[in-house]
Amino acid sequence: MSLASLKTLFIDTLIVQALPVTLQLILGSFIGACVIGLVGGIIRGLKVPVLSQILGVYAQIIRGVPDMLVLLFLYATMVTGTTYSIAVLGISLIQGAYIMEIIKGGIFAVDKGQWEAAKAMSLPMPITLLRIIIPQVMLVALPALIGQLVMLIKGTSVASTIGCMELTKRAVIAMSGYSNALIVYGCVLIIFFIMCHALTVAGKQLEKYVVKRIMGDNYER
Amino acid sequence: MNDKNVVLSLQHITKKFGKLTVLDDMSLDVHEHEIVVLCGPSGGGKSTLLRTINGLEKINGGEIYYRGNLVTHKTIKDVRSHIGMVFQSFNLFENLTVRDNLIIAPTKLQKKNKEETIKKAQEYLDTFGIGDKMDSYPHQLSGGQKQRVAIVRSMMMEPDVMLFDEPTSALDPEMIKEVLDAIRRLAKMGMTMIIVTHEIGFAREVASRMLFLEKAKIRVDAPTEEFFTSVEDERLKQFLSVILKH
Repeated sequence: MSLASLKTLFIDTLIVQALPVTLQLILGSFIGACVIGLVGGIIRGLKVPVLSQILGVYAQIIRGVPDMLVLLFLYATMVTGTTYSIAVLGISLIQGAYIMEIIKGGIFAVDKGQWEAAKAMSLPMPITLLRIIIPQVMLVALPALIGQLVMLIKGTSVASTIGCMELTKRAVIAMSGYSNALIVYGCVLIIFFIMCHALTVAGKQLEKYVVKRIMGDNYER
Repeated sequence: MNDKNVVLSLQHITKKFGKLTVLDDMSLDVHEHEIVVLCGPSGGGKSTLLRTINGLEKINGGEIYYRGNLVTHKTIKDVRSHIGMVFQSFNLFENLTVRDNLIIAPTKLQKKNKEETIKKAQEYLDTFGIGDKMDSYPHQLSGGQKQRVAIVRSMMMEPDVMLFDEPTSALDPEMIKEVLDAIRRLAKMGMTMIIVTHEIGFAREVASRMLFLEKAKIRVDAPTEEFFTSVEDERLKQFLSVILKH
């Protein structure tokens, strides 16, 4: 492969055309998944009757089916929506279910005494949640949440199955022109790896910062 | 019920955990400025009784009156804001500084002025010998300091009654005294208190009334001196002889 065609592939096709789509998928699904995960996780963590059971079934379904099928199913059944919006919806539903379970677990991990003290002081539920419970959930759940975010980034590649023109799909299409798999897929691999690795590294710093913000200096788990 | 000095009145309280009855038809009146100590063997229902008073445990039968008014699920929140509770395991909010632990309820619930509340918090901390801990987090404090902060946190709500659930049981021996001293101070201030404790010497010193709970029943309810000297009850004598010897 010539240097010029490599440049066309890497810069023009992957970086300029495909990467923004992938980044938008990441951002959109991140917001969607966080909303689902946080709201659902709180409902599950507080064991709200009926809703909590319904969400439990939802989590079980997501865990029990391949991600790709979720997207194909949505694509086949949704009446409206672009491939991008269907992909965002699908990935949000998938990742939201996992985040929900992480938040739920985090709420269960908060010492019962924290709830009791808040109750004994008659603190209203929203204040108890926002000021006391959620920060402590973040403390225990942040590493898992960052791990899940890495999964979300990698998981955006399933959007290719419904024709969303993100990195993986562009690479598949480019293969028909270049047919050098090592270079084409290699480029995509590198881009994904850099994104995920950067997040993991940044996540470690974020964790330190958050622990300090929540618990002050010299906190040992 | 018409006695104005009665702060809390428990009438025929019954509590079950599944098939196990932990409180069996218990009745108790607590008067203003009274210090009632609950003692007895483990599993006798002391902590559970205390926890039913501010609704941390639901009762299966009987009634609780606060200042002559029946406590219901509608009024429990209001009643709780008049009842301070100190736990065995402190239960300070781990992610908040001492300052925020102390001001969260007065400012967020009682809508008090923040500056004045902080000033008051500082005065209380000084009184209890931990005036320099305002900016510390709970994990930076010793057990005795944590429990004193927990006492101040309850005091910040200007409670009518304070409940203590084994306040020194989780502490190292050398820290027990500082917490007991804090409670002594509240006693001098005339605070109405109900205390579950195994510190029997301390109980004899501060209590106005002693209750001996065993097998889900209030077996003995007597003024303190009488409780230790002249109550004719085999189980109580046995309990006291063991606990006093040790």
